[in-house]
Amino acid sequence: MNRRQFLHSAAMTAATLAATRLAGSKEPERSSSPSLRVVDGVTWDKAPCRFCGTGCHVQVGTKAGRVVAIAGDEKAEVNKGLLCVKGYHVGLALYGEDRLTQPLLRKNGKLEPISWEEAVEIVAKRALKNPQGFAVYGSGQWTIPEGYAATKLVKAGLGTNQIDPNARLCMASAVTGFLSVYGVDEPAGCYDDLDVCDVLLLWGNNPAEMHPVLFSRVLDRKVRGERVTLIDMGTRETRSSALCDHSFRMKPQGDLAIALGVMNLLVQRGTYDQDFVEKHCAFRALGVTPTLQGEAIGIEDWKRQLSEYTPERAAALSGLTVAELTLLADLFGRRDLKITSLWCMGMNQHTRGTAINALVHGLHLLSGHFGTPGNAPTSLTGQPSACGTERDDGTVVNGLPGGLLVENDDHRAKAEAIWNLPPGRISKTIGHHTVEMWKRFSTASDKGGDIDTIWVQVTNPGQSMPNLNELVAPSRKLSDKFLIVSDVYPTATTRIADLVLPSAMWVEKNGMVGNSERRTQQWFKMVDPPGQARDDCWQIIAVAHKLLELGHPGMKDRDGKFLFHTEKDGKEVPVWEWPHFYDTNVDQRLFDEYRKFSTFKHKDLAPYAEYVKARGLRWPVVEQPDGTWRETRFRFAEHDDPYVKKGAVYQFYHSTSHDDRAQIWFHPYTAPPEVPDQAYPFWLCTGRVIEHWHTGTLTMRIPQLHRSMPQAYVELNRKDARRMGVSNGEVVRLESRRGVLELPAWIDGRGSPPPGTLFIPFFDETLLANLLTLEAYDPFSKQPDYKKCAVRVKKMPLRPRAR
Amino acid sequence: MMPPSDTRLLLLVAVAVLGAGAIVTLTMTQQEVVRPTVPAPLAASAGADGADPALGYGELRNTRRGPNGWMYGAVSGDLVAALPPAIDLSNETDADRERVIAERAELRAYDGAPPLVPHAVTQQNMDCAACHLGGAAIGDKIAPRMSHAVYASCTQCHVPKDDPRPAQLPVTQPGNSFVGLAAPMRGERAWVGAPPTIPHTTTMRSECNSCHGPAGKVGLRTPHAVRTSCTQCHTPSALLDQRPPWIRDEGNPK
Repeated sequence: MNRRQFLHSAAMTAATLAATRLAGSKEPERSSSPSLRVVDGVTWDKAPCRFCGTGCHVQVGTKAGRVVAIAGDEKAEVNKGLLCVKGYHVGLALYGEDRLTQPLLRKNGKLEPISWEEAVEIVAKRALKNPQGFAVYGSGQWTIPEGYAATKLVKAGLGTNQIDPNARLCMASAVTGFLSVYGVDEPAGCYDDLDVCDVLLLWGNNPAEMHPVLFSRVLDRKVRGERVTLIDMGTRETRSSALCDHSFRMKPQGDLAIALGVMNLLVQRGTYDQDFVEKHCAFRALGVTPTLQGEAIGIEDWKRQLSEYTPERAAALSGLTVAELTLLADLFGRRDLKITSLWCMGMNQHTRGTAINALVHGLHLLSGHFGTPGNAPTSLTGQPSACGTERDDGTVVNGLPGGLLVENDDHRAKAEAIWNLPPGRISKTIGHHTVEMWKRFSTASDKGGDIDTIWVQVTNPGQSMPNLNELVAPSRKLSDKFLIVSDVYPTATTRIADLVLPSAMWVEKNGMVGNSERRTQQWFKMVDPPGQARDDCWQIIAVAHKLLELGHPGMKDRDGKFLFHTEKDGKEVPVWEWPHFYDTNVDQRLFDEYRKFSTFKHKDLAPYAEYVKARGLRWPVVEQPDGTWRETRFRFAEHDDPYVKKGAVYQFYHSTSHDDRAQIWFHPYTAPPEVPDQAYPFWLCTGRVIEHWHTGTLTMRIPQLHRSMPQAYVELNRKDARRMGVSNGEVVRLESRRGVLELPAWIDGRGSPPPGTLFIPFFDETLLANLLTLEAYDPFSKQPDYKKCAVRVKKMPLRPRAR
Repeated sequence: MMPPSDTRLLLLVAVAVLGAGAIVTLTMTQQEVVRPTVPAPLAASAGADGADPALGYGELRNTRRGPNGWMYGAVSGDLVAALPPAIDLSNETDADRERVIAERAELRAYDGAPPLVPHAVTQQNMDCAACHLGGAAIGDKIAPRMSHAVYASCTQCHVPKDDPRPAQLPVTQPGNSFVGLAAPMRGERAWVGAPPTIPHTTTMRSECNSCHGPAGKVGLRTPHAVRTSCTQCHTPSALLDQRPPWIRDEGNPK
């Protein structure tokens, strides 16, 4: 583009901008996106990355209706222009050659193309036939409007609570941890803590591969000469271990003993923050009948229960040495150090996940490492919108948007008021959580299997559910069970589905997501989806309208209006008809309605238009006298949270003890349900690698990522391999009480497990780690533990492997 | 042209090391033995928590820990001196440039993507800086200098081109129809002889010598490597680099 062309295009965009403003259009459109620029024929615009919960912002370059390039967004606070290898290649995720482009119905065992009209009718009729048995299995990769629409369909429309997300498998224990400590979900701190902390603790996570941009945010401080101490605590050596100053090996489930042991040391030495505890904390323990909120206990009682966890006992249970535990207690005992703890699946996918989450929060509260920048117990989220869509939007069996609960009469009344529903429409009976839901789906209807239809959206339970042989496979042999899957590629789940709905992904539709630091982010549709693929949000609204046409009474509100009634310039827009779906910004309509729920628990969201202008805003976003919207970085702290009353310094305004205090819990160490024994002598842990996102349906179709990591493997300790006579790369047979898997061994590869431990990444559809895993779950969060079960290993006779 | 296989690279390194050893042995008989200096082991830090101070990235090359920690530091230290000096470029043609751009595209999904690593890497020790911090020449291969500022976690963005696992089994590669943005051939000039503008973003490409310096690929090299302040004459694009002022950004406080 020469100078004249550039000036011309600049003038044109200026004119368009001015024209948009003059027209007084209230509806933000793509042309109003502040980062929109056209350079040499390539249009660049902002979007959050499609992948992990870090929530980096990318700049997407499109040309002639296709994505052609990606760049890190320089103006994004989260990543400041830097991405990771998945983010740099996220544009390729749209272009795998086997993209689903038409609805498919299984007839005589084969998936045959059908029309969208027919598909929508099939879904609606299943729901109409048996609303109580119709379940929606959603996702932390749903956009916020999609999740909100699904929740509304199920809870306001069908009148059940049978909707649960895949975030049940990743973040549920973090949620129950937050609820039991602060009375409300989501971290108090934000990523700014990473920029000033003196000590960074990793509790069983591997951020060098899983939250790479956040980890390098800290590492690069060291490169610039700052003094930061990184401590990795995990059951195996990972890429993160190599980059940390200290790396402690712990036993599976040992994290409980680490937290208990360090807290006990602080108490014994008197080096905990007595002032902070006295002013801002209360104590809690499980009662005789354990409940999530437990019962109040006194500090002396708490100390007494804790005293059992002497350094020696904590070392024996955790696998750390007394010296290592003492090092941690030395650090936590200092007031002058800023300490941030990070954790993810190691602590959440845990049969005592609620307990360990509560204990780590408790450790930070006890030692006063809370609330000031750099002092934070920071639970990291894995999916791009488990926070924004699931946790804040309430797409769970016991929830409503905004953190409200179906069992609370007042909360239901509030929701019915916002949704304009007749009183009593929302059910107070909790639905079946994910593991239960799939169990019942895989059980015959006459034997208590009361779920007969599951509509899966944006997730792949056929690969990611634990104990697949029991929870998913049996359902396919029951003829009255119907599996509907909305997805973008053929997956392990679509291959066994009855109805497959092709969906639009990422920048093929408008969207909003919420990342780990409470930052809600927005993007505009930039390219068209292929073939007949359509937005998940449209699919939900279309099904709702079909139910309305078929006479389901729940699809109308109190005044007889369709639940998803949308008006523009005084006239209704038929958004359930695909050609009209983009006549108006449906995302904005749904989001601005959802906003009304957000203030109840002080998770205030700004209007949609504000998110168009920003690279995300961290809630609570509160309007200022001058009309601007101010985000909150540090909740519950007077220095930043506008909801904290003056003079309080810290106020936990959703305190479960109703005295503005956070709860420091005692939870005892409890052993895992399945431990290695004579028959199954190895620990099996499962997890991820940097190249692949979850079940690999997107990243395995990106050549650069697939080529770099094309296949799963089992990490085997060198000594165990020598003892068994297994060579590097040799195929071995793993057996658990639930299934069998044969896959190649990798010794001293990406990670190094200690003797007696194995690790398998679960991204490979041809080598399903979840045939082996155990579905035992945390009693409060119902989240299964993918990190611990028992297997045995057998050397296979050498033979050529057919593929 | 695809880069040579890893075994050839290993052979070249082995030959280079043996050759260097031979030279040292020969000189030993004539003069004082010159050995690389080994710094004292890190003293315990003065910090109360006893943690070792973080090493600067440049120091990593000289203070590598573990067995054979010295081997690569010494090798690349000697060989860095072997980088070619500025040379006459009048023989470089458009065809050279097109070939280089095509070679670069083989390792990059689109112009601006982080390149794949064309050689095997260990999975845990990130010793990339040994060769790529300053750039190095090993035989006829050149390890390009990092084109961007130093980041601590190289494998966050750069993954190996090939499967790192041992005993690789063939795995079908799914097709992908993505067509990435092509690299620009050359920057525009105001008139014949004027300094060309930088036709690509300078994000992650702020170290011009990495590609355009004397150790760069034939076809991309600058004819005046002796000049070191590139942006004195060659201007980047504010639009490409996402720098203001540009019209769109006025409403965005962030």
